Amino acid sequence: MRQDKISGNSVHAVHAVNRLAVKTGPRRRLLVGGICGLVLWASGPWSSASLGALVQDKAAEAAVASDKQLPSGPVTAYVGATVRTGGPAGTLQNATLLVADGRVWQVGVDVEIPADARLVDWSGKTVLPGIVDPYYVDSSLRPGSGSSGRRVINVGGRTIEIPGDGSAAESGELLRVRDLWNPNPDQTQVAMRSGVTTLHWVTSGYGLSLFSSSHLVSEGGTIKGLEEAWGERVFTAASPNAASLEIIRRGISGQANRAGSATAAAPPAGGPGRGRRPPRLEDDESGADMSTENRSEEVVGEWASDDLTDAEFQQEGSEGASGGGSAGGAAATSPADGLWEKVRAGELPVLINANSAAAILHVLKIVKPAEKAKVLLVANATDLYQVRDALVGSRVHVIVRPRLEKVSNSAIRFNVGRELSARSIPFSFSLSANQADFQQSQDTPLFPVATLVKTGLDADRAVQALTLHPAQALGIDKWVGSLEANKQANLLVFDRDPLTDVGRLEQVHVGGKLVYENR
Amino acid sequence: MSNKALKMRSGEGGSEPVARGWRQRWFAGGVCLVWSCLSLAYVTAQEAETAPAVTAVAEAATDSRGPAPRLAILVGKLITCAGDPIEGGTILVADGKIQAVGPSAEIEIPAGYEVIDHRQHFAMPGLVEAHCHTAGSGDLNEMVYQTNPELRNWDQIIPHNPRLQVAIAGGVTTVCQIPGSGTNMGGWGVLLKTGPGKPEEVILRAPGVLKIAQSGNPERQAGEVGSGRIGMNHVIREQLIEGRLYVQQWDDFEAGRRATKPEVDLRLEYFKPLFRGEIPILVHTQAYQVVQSTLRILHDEMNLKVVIGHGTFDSYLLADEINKRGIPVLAGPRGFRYDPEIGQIRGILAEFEDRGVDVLGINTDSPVIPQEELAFQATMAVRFGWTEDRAIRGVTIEPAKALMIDDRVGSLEVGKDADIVILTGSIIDPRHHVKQVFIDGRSVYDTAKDRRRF
Amino acid sequence: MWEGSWSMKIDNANVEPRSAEVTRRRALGVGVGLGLSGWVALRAPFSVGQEPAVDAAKTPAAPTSPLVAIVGGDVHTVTQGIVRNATVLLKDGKIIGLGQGLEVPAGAEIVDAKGKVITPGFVSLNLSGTGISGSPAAGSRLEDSLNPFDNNLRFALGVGITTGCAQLSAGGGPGGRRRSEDRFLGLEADEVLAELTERQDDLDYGRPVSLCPCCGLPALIFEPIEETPPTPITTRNHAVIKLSYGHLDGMLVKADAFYDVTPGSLSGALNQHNWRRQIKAAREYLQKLAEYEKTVQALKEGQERPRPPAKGTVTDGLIALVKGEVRLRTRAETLSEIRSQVALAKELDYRLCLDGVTEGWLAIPELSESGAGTVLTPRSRRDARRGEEDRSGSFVEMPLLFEGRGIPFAVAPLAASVSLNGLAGRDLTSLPLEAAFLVRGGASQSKALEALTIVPARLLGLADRVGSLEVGKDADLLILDGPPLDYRTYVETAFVNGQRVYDREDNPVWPVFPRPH
Repeated sequence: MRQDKISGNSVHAVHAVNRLAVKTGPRRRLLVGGICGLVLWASGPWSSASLGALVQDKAAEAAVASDKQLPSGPVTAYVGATVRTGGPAGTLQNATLLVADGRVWQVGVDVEIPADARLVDWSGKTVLPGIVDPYYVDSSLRPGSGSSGRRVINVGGRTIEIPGDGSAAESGELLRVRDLWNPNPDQTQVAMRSGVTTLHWVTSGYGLSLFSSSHLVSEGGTIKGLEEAWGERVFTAASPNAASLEIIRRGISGQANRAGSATAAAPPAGGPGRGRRPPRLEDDESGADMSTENRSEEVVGEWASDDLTDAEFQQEGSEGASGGGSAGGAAATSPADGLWEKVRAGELPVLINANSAAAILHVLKIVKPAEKAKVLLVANATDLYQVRDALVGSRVHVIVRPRLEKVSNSAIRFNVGRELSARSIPFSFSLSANQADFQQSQDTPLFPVATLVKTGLDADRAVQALTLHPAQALGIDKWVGSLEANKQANLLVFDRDPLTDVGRLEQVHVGGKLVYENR
Repeated sequence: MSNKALKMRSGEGGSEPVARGWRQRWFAGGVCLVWSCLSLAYVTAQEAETAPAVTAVAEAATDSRGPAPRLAILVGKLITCAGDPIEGGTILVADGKIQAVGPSAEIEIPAGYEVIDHRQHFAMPGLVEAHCHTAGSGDLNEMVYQTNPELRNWDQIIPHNPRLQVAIAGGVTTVCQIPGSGTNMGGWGVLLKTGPGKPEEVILRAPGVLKIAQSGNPERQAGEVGSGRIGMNHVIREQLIEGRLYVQQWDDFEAGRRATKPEVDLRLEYFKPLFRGEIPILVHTQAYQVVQSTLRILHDEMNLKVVIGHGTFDSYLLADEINKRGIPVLAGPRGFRYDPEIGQIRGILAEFEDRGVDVLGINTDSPVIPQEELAFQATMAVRFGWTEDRAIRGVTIEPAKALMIDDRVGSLEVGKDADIVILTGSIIDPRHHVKQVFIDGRSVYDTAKDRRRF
Repeated sequence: MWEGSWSMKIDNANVEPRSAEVTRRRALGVGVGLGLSGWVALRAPFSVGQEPAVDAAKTPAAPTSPLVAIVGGDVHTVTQGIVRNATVLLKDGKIIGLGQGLEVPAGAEIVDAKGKVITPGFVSLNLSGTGISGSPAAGSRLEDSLNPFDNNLRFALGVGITTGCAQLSAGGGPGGRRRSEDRFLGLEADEVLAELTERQDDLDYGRPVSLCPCCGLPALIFEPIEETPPTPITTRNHAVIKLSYGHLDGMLVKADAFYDVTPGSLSGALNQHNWRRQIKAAREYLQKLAEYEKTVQALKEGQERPRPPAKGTVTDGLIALVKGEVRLRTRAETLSEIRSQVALAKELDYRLCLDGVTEGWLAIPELSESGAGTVLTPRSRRDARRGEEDRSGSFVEMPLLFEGRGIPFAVAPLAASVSLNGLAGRDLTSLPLEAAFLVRGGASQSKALEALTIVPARLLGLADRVGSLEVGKDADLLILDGPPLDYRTYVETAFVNGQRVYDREDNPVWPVFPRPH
């Protein structure tokens, strides 16, 4: 049964009684009413994207068991919009989207709206899942005051700082984003305002990545929005004539990869390693009732614990300071080793940023024997076009900037999405590939994608390349990537279809909360 | 050729050789030159004015090269550069000039003519190099002043030097030796033959051309005006205005419009033939904007005879403007331009030709390209799309027209200098080579006697 | 050393010219036979001779390529004359059929070459800045430096170069780049002393210079010289690559195609003394190795295995040289340089490849006798010494003299890299035009084509793979719109390893325009 459309364009907030109070126990809820009746679920259990995934996991499992199981929190029903789900449901006209507990509860055209649901009329709007940027580069994530590749060695008892050569991959230095990450919430505003709700943080060179929401909230000195529980991924740059190919070769083949640990980042001169600890993810109050043993188990499984990390950190530091000698006795293993193992087993992907067409061919050649490995190849469209035939059957997943690009050495432009689709090469888009464009196109962030759709790329395929496919490729599609039941309610609301028209981004919802409104 | 090294000269003086074929009264033999260390020439007005004209001296019987023989040259194919090629041709040569040229059937060989049988070979006019720096000593630039209208380079030529000997083996018989592009106005160049002889015997015209470098080498970095195009254009314009004023004063005086005789200023003296339209400026100018300045300043404002030298990069895009003014283009040594937009190269000469430029030739800027490879420059231009017969004209009659010596050289026509190249096939095909070369009717290279040089 | 650090071992085996010749004849004989039946050729591509098949198997990453039939062109095979209106069949990187009237197998891509000229891809012994990114650092893999999308490859392919010997490092010897004979020429005794004392580190005698108390000359030369091993010469490294634009597989053909040294490394009494000792050491090592292998083979169960002989300062490159697998390549311009190299090679019994050879026309008998290969640049001129015009300097008709006496010559352009600065006809892409200058210098057209193809292939030790069109050889060939040495001729299509890697119309790096031929 469908609810009648609510006339007028003001948003009606219906604050429903929690029908499952018995099950979930008492919660503190705060309703913040905006001028236009905006509803912000500031501290519901699912409202913060920064919550540990184990919580979601647990809930998700429960939800999978019974899809129609009633949510614990109040339900909001968004009705009347065209919903490009990004999932198997494709695009739904005049659809109903039920959001509760910060997650998508149900989506469809014949969805029954609970009587107590808050109704929001989105007639005429087009709703997309929040965009997942699979390769969000922050090149300032470098050890030692932002200089690239700088390291400290010990020569005859003297400590010497070697200036960076601009490429950590050349030195084989392993950069761990979580150790270097010092986010300013403002920094991610551009992404959020462009509809990118999930960021996969990488930096130039060789390292381990980090996931976060683009909606970072600084609260009491801590940052909320990290998705620590999603784990890290290996990323590396690749260029011809560079040690980077050797890093990939070793990692893919499983030979001892000492490059990462031997030259790992040393502590900055005069400061303890502690100074660069990652911002801690603090449990919010609502997390207090979560099963603590579950959480710790999950975190330890995915991450090194605090103490372990410190020890490792110290060891790396001392090793770096002694010029790679084995002063400590036991041989250190790189934190990348375990991830490479999972790469070889096909459990986790590796991201390889190839700087040229030649680099792509080298990468394809190196990864060819590793049949299970999932390779996410980051490259520019012009280079991809040159190797388009070699990509067929190569099993790599391509990450590329969505834009009409020129065929090299010619004035001819081509549609990278269409070319890749035509060859059945899986691909994702990274909107942030060009920061200048990224900043300028916040009002109509999907305009470049729309140009691809206009010139032959299937619109649903384009949506998936922005959302589901990067999520799947990175192994986070359990949580994000499409408007499907139990996934994070990361929604983008456009005034018209941004894939076929110039659609203005009006609202961004993260975890069911309206976090940005473009007026 | 860029040579920014400062060179100091001293102690050169004495009697000045007389330019053969020089018709200007005011340029007199016996001009006494005293070179200062800055190469400034001084002479008294009295001497300049009263010195007798001796232009005919070179024609006297005492030619160091010996008497000009009477020759009947029979060839298999005759490329005259003044009409279609002729199969089976005869050239009659007497007194260093072409007496008759045409199909063998139509030309009777008079008695007393030495018959030279090249019926297996081609004949063509000697090649004309419009941009040469190898006919003399290598000091091409005086760097103190930005404009040097007082400098002339025919005192430093070395006739028939080893480079020119090889050039002859490449078919080159006339070169325009010019100062370098180190300053905006490098001085006056000279036109000469490449064969042996005294300076007065080989010089075709002096001054031959004025060398102006518009941009792309004469830039100054020491703080004076002229570090960029805006300053350099000012420097060139100012110098030309001074020269024009000087020549106007003399023209007015000689036409009776002015009573008082102007003072002779040797610094500006050679501007006379220039502003009277008797000799051209060979301009070092390349790229669109620079050529545009050349057209506007030198042609439109100063009304001078202009030859676009180099003319490379994208300057062919100005072909319409060049055609409107009827300005010759002598491109090179760069023969192509890489267009990064499309990743393809374009042949400079082919682009000019496609746009209908009338007088179009190519040069070497030797020693940038060795002088003997003038024809190979044309070969490469043909490879890049230039029409082959235009390319042959582009190393003979077209540069001769541009340099205003087409009454003397550049084609095989009656009355012209007997500068004849005999070769095994088309000069454009590098597999063929030169067998014999005549300059002013005298054999200066003959592979039957000399070791092959190229 | 390069060869030590590359983890990928490249097939370094070099087929002796004589045996290659045999192989070729056999291959062609069978190939002609196969010409009667294209199907047989197709089904048994390597039945044409065992050796090519074995070599192909050893080749790293043997590329696969589709079946292509090039029909109707005049094929300049280089080694077996011109076959008019022929069909050439390519498959999996090899030529599998060549002849008139071959049946074109079903499914083959047919390339119409009527009125076109087909030649082997050209082989350039000098290649730099083309296909290899930067200068590979010691310890890195050469294969990682390959750039099959280098734009320069297209320019080079557009004039027909399909194989090139890339220079990777400068090298040098104990004497550095200066020739010691130059340094000592005209020096006073005390200046010679200064030269020698300055060089003592280089010579690595391990002791300070001691001077003879009576004459004051350095005494070091006589005493400790036998105690220290000979100083190895730093060779210049090469890699032979295919210009397989867009294809990484099969791009790297061979590393260290030559034992390449700077001229200074082998000039002067001291350097030559050092060189003789090195060659001696290499031969001694090989002898010991042979004895060792004999001993090992004769070992009975339970007997203790002897230690293999130590290489000491003997490098792999030196071993390849004395075994005759590679040639010593160096620049020899003047008559004295040429004579010196020829004499050393004769004395020490290795084969030569001489660059430059400007005054080679004065050393015809020596060069002819030595079997040295030469690399000529017809347009490079050297002035004669004054008063010795007939006995020094370059001579334009040297190719005529070389051809007359059977001295093999390859051709090299004035520069080894592609230049886009606008000066036409002076860079790598003028290679076929430089060969036209060989004809100007008196070489026959066929010898000039050989100088672009089979001669450099032989000098590289790759005559079994490239340099001519024969069944069993690599499918590297050009479809030309005119005769190969004509200045108007362009490559229309180039195949490398059987892959179409260049097409003039689709991939226009050179000007494209209608040409009235």
